Amino acid sequence: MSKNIPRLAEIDRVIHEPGRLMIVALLAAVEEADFQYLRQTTGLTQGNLSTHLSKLEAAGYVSVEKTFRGKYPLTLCRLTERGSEALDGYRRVIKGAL
Amino acid sequence: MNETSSRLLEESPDAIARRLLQKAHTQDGLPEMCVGLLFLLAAPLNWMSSQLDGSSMAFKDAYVGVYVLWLLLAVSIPWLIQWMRRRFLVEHEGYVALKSNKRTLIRILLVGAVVCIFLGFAALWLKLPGLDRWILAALGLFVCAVWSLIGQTLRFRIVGALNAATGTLLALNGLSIEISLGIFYGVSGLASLLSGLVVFIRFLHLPIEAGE
Repeated sequence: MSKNIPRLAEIDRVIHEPGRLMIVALLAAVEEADFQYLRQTTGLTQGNLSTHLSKLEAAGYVSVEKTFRGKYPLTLCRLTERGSEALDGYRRVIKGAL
Repeated sequence: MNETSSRLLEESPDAIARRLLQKAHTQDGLPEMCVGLLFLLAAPLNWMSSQLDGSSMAFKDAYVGVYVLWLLLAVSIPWLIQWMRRRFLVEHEGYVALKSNKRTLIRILLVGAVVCIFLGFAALWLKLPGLDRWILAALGLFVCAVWSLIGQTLRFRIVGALNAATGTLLALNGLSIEISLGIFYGVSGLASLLSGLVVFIRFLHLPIEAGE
């Protein structure tokens, strides 16, 4: 067993949940994405995605802004600096444990 | 924990993002349709280039026109796809602003330059008997590899396999290189265009759920 396994206890449980991991990983790879794009891409249901985004927003990892593009309403999501740091930390813990 | 969840936790966040972005990029069939159009346009272009010697001025003008159109289309494909998605498909696909990835762009340009140099040398070697046949087969295999790597789904592999088979069959028959290349581009373009069109129509028929 790897001696780094205890480090898994330090893992960020907000990010570690599979649905939220998909959202954070995706937002880290783009500038910004709206709710519909996240739902299409991750395959999460509207309710699930909404709940995950609320949790990520409450943790300060994601910022959500409601706006319009022409007549089309957008719920724009971006990864915050804190979210980016949390994802880097998550990467380090996972890499160290494996 | 279900299979999807355990698979997710085995992947790095970067790999997850790559997989999801790739899925998003290929879900509407637009990239295949654009590449199919490029190939279909390359077929007459290839034939026209073989007929230039001793042809009329109008024919040469037409050749330059088609060539410029082809170049413009090739260069503008990423912007064209993005514009179409934001203008007409935003309710289906949602909105995304991608990060500008200069490193990837430079890598693509370098690979493109290497391929062009390789094709340039290959064109010089075409004068050697028999070698042009195998360049057709290599072209088929190259397009097959690119499709399989880019798409990583069954439909891309089928179109890729069709390209490889067409290239190999054309390499084995006795047609001239101009006609063979024209057939190759035509078959490849038609396969990509049809595959993309079927995916696009199916995608448009998916129900749109209201946003948050």
